[in-house]
Amino acid sequence: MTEQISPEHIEFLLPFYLNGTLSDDEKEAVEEALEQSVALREELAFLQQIQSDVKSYEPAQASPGELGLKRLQRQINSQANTAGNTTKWRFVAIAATCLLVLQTTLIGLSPSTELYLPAGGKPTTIAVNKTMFRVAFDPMATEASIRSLLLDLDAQIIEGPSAIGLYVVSTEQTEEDALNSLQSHTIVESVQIIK
Amino acid sequence: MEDVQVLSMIAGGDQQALAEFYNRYESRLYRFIKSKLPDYFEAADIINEVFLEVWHKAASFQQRSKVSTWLFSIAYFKTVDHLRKTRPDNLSAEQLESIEDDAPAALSGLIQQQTADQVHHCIETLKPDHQSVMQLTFFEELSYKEIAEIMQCPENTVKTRMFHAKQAMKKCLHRLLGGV
Repeated sequence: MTEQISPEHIEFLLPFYLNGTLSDDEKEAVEEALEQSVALREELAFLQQIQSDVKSYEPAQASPGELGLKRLQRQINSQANTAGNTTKWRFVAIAATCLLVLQTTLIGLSPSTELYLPAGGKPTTIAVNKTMFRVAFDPMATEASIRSLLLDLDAQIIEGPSAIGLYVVSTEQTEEDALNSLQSHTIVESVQIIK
Repeated sequence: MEDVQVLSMIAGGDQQALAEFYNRYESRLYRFIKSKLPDYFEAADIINEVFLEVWHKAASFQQRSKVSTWLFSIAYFKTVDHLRKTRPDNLSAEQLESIEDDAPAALSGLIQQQTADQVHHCIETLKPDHQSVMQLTFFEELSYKEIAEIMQCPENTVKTRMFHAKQAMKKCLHRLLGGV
C-alpha cells in the first residue's frame, strides 16, 4: 500500500502529517520518505514553524463575542414574534374573508325591499325634526363626561370630530332647551345651531 | 456534552443550547472567516448568518460528517457567496492554482531567521483560499478530506492549495528577510 504513494506526492502530504490526520498507510509512507530525504525534513521543519505561528496568530480585532450572541438572540426572538403575529393576523384575515363571503352571499339573495328595515323600526319623520348643533368640547373633557352630557340631552354625535375637534350633535329636545343645556355645561366650549 | 447532542437540543428550539454552541465555535469561525474576509463588520455579519442557519437547520444535520465540518462548510459557503456578490474579481479559485512555483529553495535560512510577526504578515498576504486551507490545516487540524468537504472541492485541490500556500509563504519570508 505504501508503495502506491509517489515521492512527489509525499510533499503534498507533509502538512497533514504534521497535523496528525493522515491514514496509517500515508503516515508510514511519509515517515519512510523523511528518513531518506534531508530536503523533505527541512520542508517539515519549515511547516512546523508555520504551524506554530498560525496557532499563535490572533486577528487584529477580537471576534464579536457576547455582542454577537446578543444580536443573534434578538434576531431569533424577533423572528419568532413576527411569525406569531403573522399566524394571528392570518386567522383574523381568514375570519374577515369568511364574513365578507357571508355578507356577499346574503346580499346576493336579492331579497324584497320589505326585508330592509332599520334596526330601530320603520323610518319616521322624527329625524327630520331633530335639532342639530356644532359643538366644541373642552380638550380635557373625558369620554365619560361627554357621554353623560349626551345622555342628559338625549343626544347623539352624528359627525366628527373634525380636524379642529368639532362635533355635530343631534337631539330631540327643542332648540332653546338644548342650547341652554349645552351652554351651561362646563365641558362645552362653544355651541352653534345648525338647524 | 457532545456537539451532536447540543445540535439536537438546538433543533428542539433550545436557545440556551444555541448560546453554548455559539460560545464553542464563534471565535474559531471568526478566525476562519477573517482569513477570507478581512473586514470586521462583514465577518461579524457572516458569523451571525452562520449561527442563524444553525438555528434554523439544526434539525436537518444528518451526521454524515462531524458537526464542526458541517459548521465550517456553512461558514465557507456564506463567505464565498458574500465575496462573489461584493468582490467578484477577488475570487478566482482557478487562478489560485496557477501561481508559479518560484519560491526559494534554501529553507534553513528562512527557518532560523523568520519571526512570528513576519510569518503573520505573510499569512495576511496569502490569497483567501490559501489562508483558509492553512487555517483549517494548522489551526483546526482537519484532514484534507474534511477540508475538501468544507470547501466543496476535490481532495487533491486541497493538497495543491496547501502546497502553493507554503510556497507563497516561503517567497514572502524570503522577500522580508532580504533574499536569504
